[in-house]
Amino acid sequence: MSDYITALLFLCVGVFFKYHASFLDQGTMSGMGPGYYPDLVATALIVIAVLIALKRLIWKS
Amino acid sequence: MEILENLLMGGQVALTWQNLAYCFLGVLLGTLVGVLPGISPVAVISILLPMSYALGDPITSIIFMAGIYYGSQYGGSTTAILLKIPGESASLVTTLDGYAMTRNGRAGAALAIAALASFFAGTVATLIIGLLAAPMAEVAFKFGPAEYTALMVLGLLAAISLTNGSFLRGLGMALIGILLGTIGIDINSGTQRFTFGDPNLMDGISFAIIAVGVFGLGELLYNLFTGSDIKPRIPKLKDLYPSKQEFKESAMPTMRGTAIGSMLGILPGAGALLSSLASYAVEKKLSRDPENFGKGKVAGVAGPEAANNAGAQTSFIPMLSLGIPTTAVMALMIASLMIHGIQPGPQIISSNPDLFWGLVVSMWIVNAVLVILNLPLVGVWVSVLKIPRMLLFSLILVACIYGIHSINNNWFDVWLLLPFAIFGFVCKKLDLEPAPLAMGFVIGLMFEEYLRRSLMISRGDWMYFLDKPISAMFLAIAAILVIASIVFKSRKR
Repeated sequence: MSDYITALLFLCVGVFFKYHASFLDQGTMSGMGPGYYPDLVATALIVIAVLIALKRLIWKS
Repeated sequence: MEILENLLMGGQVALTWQNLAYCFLGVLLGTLVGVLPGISPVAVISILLPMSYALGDPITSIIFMAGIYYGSQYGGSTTAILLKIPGESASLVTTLDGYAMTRNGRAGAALAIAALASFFAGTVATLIIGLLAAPMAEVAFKFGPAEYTALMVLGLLAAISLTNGSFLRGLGMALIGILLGTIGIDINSGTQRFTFGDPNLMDGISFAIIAVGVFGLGELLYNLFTGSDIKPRIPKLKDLYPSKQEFKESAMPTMRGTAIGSMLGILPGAGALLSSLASYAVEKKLSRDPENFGKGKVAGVAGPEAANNAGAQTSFIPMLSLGIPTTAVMALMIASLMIHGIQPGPQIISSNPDLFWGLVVSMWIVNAVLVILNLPLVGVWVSVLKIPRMLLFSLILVACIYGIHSINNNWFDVWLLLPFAIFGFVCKKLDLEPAPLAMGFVIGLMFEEYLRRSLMISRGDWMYFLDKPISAMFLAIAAILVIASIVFKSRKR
């Protein structure tokens, strides 16, 4: 149970930051804009949230 | 003997009446709060962090912080020995033989041995910092942005994988910390990020708010809901002095513990806990009568206590020489330096030698003060436990609010405490380690800056990090550590 709540918590924070980062200039790889880095980190957080939930699902079966 | 000259210089910086006074105050406050059960040193330092902001001088402030840190650790050991209540996970080991000694009527001796072993370990570890930090900084000084980026990845991932708890959860917390750190004005473009136009958020969220909220109040709330009042029965402290036999028995374990702790402390992550566990295991292995461990063996107190203290101290090395926090406590130390306009990093030893050596010497002073102050006052510390928890917690809460408000004279900051306190409480409930969050928060913007610069040099090519041999090596070590910890932890289950 605690895994799912953790995943949900991470997901909410990740989506919140990713959504608001989308309004910022992303720039290019060689010239990162202010939105690039938060978007990258927020995306990683969302991936981790999904991984935690998936791991829990697989572990159960 | 360059180091002697440097230490003398440090002594001149550190040994002022003002610094000594704050050192005493730090140790006093640290021990006072550290004695409370269920409140870890990280929480103690967090709660008292705003106070250090008010101090004008960076050296005074870091001496104060170091005093709080060691004081809180010693407070944890005191209750571990006298009442079998470990104040922190690192003194868990001390409860085994320390409390057994108390039951055998040797409480005073156990306390004295813990203090003396810690003092010895602290002295040696101080010298190690003096010897190692400068050469390490010199190497790091030559690093380009790619190497530094990779080093930060290594530091953070190593710290997460070496602490207990799931790797994914720890990484998630670190990322949340990084995201919280991006709130405010982006220094490169001047764009506001996640401020929603609120002028209070333009300079970003102060680390003190996160620390006090998540670590301090979160832990306090958790204790309020789960803990219960204890009625301590204070054992009689007949004689504080260990017998000759006990002295003899503690000499070698202290030295071995110091060696183990000094080595493990440099590693990122749970240096203190790992080293006290390792030291206990080693002493038990080497002992001629291992069956007596847990029944009041002096070695079982001296070794782990020395290891614990040495580890706590050498964990300053990566922070001072590389500017990378490897534990939550070091993140707090960096925060208290940054508020005084000092960005820890490889340049600090050459550009501010007085600060660096002053700090090294002051650490030793803190250790000495700890012995002088704490042993005679043991009775006072334990009687703190008699005060009703509600009263104590309310006092701490008021102190937290006052402290946060005094940073910017701003009530917005105080209100911001609330969501972070709730977040900290939820983390505790979910068994989420908040330490990576602090590390991520402190390191986040620096990481962005170096990442940005690296990618600018490589014209957006991520392979750049693998093309450079040193950064590739750092990343490889990080990958190995992460894989090893995942495999190890899943096997343990």
